Amino acid sequence: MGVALLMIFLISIPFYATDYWITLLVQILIFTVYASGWNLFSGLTGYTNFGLAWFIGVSGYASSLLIADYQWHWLFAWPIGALFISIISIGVGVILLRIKGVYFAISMVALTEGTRELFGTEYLEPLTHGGKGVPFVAGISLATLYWSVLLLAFLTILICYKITSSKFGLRLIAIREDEQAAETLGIHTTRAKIIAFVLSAFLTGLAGAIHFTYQNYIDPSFGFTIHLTLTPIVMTLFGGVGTVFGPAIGATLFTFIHEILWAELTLLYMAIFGGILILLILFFPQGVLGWMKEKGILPKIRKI
Amino acid sequence: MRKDGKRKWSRRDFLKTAGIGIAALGMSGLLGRRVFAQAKSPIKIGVAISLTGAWAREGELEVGGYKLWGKIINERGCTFGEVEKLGCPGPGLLGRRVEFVVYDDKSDPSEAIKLIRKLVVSDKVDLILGPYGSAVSNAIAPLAEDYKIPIITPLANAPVIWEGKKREWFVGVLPPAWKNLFGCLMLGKEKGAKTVAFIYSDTAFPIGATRPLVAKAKEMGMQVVLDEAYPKETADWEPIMSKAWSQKPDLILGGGYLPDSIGLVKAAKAVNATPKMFGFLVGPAIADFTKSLKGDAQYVTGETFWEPFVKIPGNLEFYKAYLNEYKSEPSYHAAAGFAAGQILERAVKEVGNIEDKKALRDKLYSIKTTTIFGEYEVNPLGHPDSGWQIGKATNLIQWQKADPKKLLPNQVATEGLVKQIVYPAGSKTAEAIYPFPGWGK
Amino acid sequence: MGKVTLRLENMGNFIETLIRGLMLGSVYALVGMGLTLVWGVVGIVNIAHGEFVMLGAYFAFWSFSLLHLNPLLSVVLAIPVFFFSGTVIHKRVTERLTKAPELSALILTFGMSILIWNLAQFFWTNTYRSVPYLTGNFPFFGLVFAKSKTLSFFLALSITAALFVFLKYSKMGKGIRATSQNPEVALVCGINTMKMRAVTFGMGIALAGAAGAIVSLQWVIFPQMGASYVSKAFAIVVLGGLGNIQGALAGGLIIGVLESLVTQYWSAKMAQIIPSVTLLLILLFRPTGLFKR
Repeated sequence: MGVALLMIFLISIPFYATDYWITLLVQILIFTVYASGWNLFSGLTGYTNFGLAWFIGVSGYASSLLIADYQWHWLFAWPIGALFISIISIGVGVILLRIKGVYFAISMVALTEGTRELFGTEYLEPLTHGGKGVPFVAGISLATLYWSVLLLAFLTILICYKITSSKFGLRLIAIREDEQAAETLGIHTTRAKIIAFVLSAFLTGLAGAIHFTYQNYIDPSFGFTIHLTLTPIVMTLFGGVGTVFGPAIGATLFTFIHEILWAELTLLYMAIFGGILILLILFFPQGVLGWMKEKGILPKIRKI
Repeated sequence: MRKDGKRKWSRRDFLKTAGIGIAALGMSGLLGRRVFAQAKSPIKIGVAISLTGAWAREGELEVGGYKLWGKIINERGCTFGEVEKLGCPGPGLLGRRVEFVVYDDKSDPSEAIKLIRKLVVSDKVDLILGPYGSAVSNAIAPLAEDYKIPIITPLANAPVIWEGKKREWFVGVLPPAWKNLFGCLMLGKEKGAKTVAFIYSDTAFPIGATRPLVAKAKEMGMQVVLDEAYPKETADWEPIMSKAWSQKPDLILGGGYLPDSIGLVKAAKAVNATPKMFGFLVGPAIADFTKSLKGDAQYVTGETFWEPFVKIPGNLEFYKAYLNEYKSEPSYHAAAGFAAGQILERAVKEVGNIEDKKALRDKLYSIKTTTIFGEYEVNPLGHPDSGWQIGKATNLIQWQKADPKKLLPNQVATEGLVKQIVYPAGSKTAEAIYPFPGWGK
Repeated sequence: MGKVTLRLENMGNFIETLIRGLMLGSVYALVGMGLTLVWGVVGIVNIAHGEFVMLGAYFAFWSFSLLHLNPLLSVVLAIPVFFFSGTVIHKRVTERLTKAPELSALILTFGMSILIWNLAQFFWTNTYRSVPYLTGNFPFFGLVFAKSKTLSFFLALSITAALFVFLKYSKMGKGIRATSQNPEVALVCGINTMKMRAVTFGMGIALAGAAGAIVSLQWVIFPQMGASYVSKAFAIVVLGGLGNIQGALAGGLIIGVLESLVTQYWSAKMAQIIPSVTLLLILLFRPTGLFKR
């Protein structure tokens, strides 16, 4: 009931809110998908994905190029971008998911950096336009963009909810707790990891395609910026790793904080952002929401 | 795309609400910026430009030009040269004060996109003047179309911005980028150069300025021994210069912006590269180039679009006003910024208001005028390259030893060197020195 | 794209390129050795490592432009200054991370990285700067080398040699090696492992700072320069084997030479991909690094 009311409220927003508010909500929703997408794989399996920007950038590039150079309609370009990254992720997952712990995180950073450089080289330039960047107009109204990303965010949270309460979700958690033990129990860990990885790639990729359509521009350093990896992780940590609504709450709170900091302290906001990260790890390692639950400020609910 | 609802919750309202909770962050900033009502509301002009980062110096000069234009308009209602003929009706543009809202894009196109959105959506500026450079202009050009607000970008000329793009809200002031160093090729050919190496930063403008020359050099019968874009994050130009020099070309052309040109000259000296001529983009026209390199700047060539000693109506007044305001030498970047203001001034005066953005846009696409910077005329609406500058000419300068007895009026020596226009023949102030005699000679 | 082909008459150029690569690699090695020490001994993956390189570079820049200090002196001074700052940072902040999960250390040092470069940008702006100390070249048996790079090379080698001597012969160096090999046994043997970790963290930061001061002699510097060093440093650490100082030295030289050769004989942009590709290949095929410990 509460959810339905919230949805009706969110759907109706473009009819009376100003552009400023819609823009802000678009950002919140996009980052909700990024954070939930990251959480879906890393929060459940314990494999820290430091290459979320790779999902976002590759899919963003694919869809932006389809719109800019091949005059595709955005409605078709977006899913193609997301499918493209999902298919590549299968191969990458098979190869890289053998690497464990911090090395996996670093290998994903290397993959992102390498792809960023690769997209700028003379070999891919005829396709990607290299360092010149790709500016484009997709001809989509802000309201339509908002509804699209709202739908995506809703589906993402629904998928996360279904998965965490499914057997598949339990398998992923078993991998996080003890991968070898899970294997001996007969869980096909590699397959489970890859499915989660690819699903995460698809959802974040779709959001990435929408993100760059909204930005009207993509270039290698913009499309693969480390902030696209970092911000969703911080949001998830803020809201609570491995929870269904944590990423969404983290994304909302963080976007507001970011917006206020950026508007009033344009030059210092990133520094403050870094400072918040440090404090978060030092004092609230279980997330702010987790800490509030522990202190009894919020009611305790089942933690998955 | 824009939707106006009944509930006018502006971002300022939101910030106020949020600011109560977060008093430490917000309040002073919010109150401090309130503008008190005047007889007529001011015209707010938004600028998102590089004040820090790789393009900081160029951006600073450009915004200096904007602000000087605004100041003079606010004092006497018109600026210098041809626009004066439209009359000087007293303080302000159409009697309204001109105010600037300036943000720093940190030399980052993605930051500029956010800032342009902020200028339009939150600051509700009336007009926008362009950023520095082709990379940022290229990134924000779609926003002009999206918000239906005309933007004049004085310092961008990469083909990628206009070529076949049918831009309807975005006009340029600079001639096409390939003309920047074209003079080097022409001079080289005249003097018998046979080989040329191109090394340039991997961003929109250097690519647009250099790549077309590769084909032109081949047409002229020269051999292109190297054509390579280096990463824009490059902090050390020695490897790429060494690579270019290992081919012993007659001409080494390219670069990117001010840091590139300084770094490339240093690198050339470090690897003892002695081609017959160096031609680098952007940097050589700025006095900082020679202040930083001292004697090593001698004989280096680069493009210019304006010099204080060029005779154009109003130029002298601009030059004096600039020196008076900033106590330092302007470069073509400052003049272009000022000229963008003058173009806006003419269009606004001819249209008679600033609310009719479409009429203003149509005017910007159709007028032909002369500013202190030179001719202004863009491809009209409907042309495949609409908005691209076609009226303005490009000159090539070379740093040469200053002879105090032979200086032109307003020609200023820096570290004992002066800029001389060496191409084209019609605007020449001195003969090009060719070949390069070697380091320290 | 224009390629430079390797021919016999170009041998001089090849040797120049090779030596230039070694010079470049010696600075990378300093950064890499710092990272591998901190990672291997302290157990913290310091993503902010590159930011200390940046701070070292600005240290030299400001000493030069405000105090007119000779940059050579700044390199020497940077070592104690950064060592001390490093131990303080460890005591105050990172010490708590030694028992925390790896992700926590990654995120915290990431936050540190963002905090540092943004503060640098806020206070010193994004403008490109350089230390105009040594320009020009000198001939050497028919080859030509930049004066600034050659000086940097010898500085980097001296610091590396000093580090090796310290680790091999000093009591503290032995303690650090023991802590790195087996902290429990080291503790039982009466080594104050907590102190060793603080000292090592300080040494890692000092190496980064010294590398930064050296970098300022030859390249332009700006607040975001750290990012390119940290990605190279990761490749070097993985190449040399975690915690392996000699391995990091070799790894640094390899990356430097590869970058120089690829720029010369292939393209400057392909050279930028080397660290990422090296890192991925090593992780996949030889996760313990190229060298045996």
